Amino acid sequence: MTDDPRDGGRPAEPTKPARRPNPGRPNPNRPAPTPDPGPDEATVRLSPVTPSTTGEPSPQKPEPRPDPAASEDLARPEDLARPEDLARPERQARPEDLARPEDLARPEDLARPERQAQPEDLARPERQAQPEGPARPEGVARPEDVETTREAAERGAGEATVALPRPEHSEDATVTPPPVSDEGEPGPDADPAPAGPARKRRGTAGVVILVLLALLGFTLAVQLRGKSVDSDLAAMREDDLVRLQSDLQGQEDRLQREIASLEDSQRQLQSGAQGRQAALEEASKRADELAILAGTAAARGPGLTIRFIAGPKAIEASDILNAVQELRGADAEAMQIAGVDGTTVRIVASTYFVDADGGLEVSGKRLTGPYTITVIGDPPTMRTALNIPDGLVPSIKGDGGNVIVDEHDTVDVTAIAEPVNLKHAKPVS
Amino acid sequence: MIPVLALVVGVVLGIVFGPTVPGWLEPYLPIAVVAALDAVFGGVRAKLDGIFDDQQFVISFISNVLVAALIVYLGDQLGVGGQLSTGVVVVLGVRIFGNVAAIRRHLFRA
Repeated sequence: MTDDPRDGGRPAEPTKPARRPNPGRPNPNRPAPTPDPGPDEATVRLSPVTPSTTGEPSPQKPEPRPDPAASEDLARPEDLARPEDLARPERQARPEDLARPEDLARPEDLARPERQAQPEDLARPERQAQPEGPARPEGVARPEDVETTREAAERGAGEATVALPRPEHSEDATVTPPPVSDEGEPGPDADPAPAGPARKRRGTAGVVILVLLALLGFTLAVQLRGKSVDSDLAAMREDDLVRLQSDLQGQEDRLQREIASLEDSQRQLQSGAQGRQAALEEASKRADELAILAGTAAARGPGLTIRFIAGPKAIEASDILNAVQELRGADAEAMQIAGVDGTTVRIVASTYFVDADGGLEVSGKRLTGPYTITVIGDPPTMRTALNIPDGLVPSIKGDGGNVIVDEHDTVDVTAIAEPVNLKHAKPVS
Repeated sequence: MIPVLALVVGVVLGIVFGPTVPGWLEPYLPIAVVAALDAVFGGVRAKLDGIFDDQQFVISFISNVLVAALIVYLGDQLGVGGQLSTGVVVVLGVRIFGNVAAIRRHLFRA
């Protein structure tokens, strides 16, 4: 809107100053755009040196000069108009392009102040004024230049970011690594001179790379195998492990309790078995004793044999009964009586003696004299009991008979009494 | 190609010999392997970018492995070995993802 009139006026103004210097240095103008990367000076300060050597020392050195001037010039109304002109898209485009981060180092210089000053200062204006002045056609061309500068800048930036010590060689190096393996081709491709040491280095580096990769594969395989061999527990999370542990703890407690109860019952059963065994032994022992007393079992032990020989007066049942009573009183444990014919009868609680013709009837069996009583017990005691004065033996001897008492270490009581079938008495327990 | 063959040879050797990892190395080996993988992926990416450098690769490989192991060792000494190794794995994993994404872009243009 307002730009149009000013723009219309403007091109004329800048062209004047621009063309004045331009004829002087038409050629340097084009190198000038290349130095334009000069704005990149921040990154590539070294490069501008070459343009300066090429022939434009003045434009570079004058730069600082114009700056103060520019600041002064800024005050001028004319200049004020220009900054507005600078607002044109074209011009604005440049500062923006120039304003790349690399250029940021000198944003002020590159930006308005310089340009504002340039048209007036003959030194600088040359560059910027020329493009502006000669005009828009050139201005049209500029974008290309700008692009080229961009490309250049990008290359520069790329190299800068790569930051390889020797950019040229490094590029070769980056391109050639594959050939390193092929050995044959890359050598010639690379610079012939540095090829020798570089190739050695590359070769060793390549070998090291191969070794490293082999090592990586090796450890990878080992690690994978190790992991697969590892138990599942290693792969479990901590919470799971804790839960598992508590589970196992509870299980162990339960099993411990079970073990304790089982041991308890085992002890009980063992003691029960032992008690039963003892009771059994006791009972059988008692049964044996009772069997001996009841006369249902044969018995053996120390004892006496007592032989009754009748005199003029026959041996009576009462005499035998007396003898039995005496022996019982002397703790006799088992007795039997035998007749002369070998008939033996066990003498138990229910045994009875009855006089019979020419003999005795003992528990229903008939015996004839002389009689022999076999008794198990303490021999001296029983002998004493039999021989007490006015006892059995003296009375029988007084009647003209005889009693022969022999002590034996072992006597056998073999006769067995008929077991008694009890009809009425029942054990109380 | 040859590097891939070297990798395969290493894997085969590892499978054939299958040594058991010594105990003192056990915590560091997985991290070291991940770090080495990171270096390898970075190397592949650099190769595709055309800026691969042998020395740089070797140095980054070794230093990656050593630094990763060192960090885990330090963590063990400080009593935060598990967390630190997790952190290392996360960082390396992010880097590997980035490198793989760059490789993918190179190979598939997407």
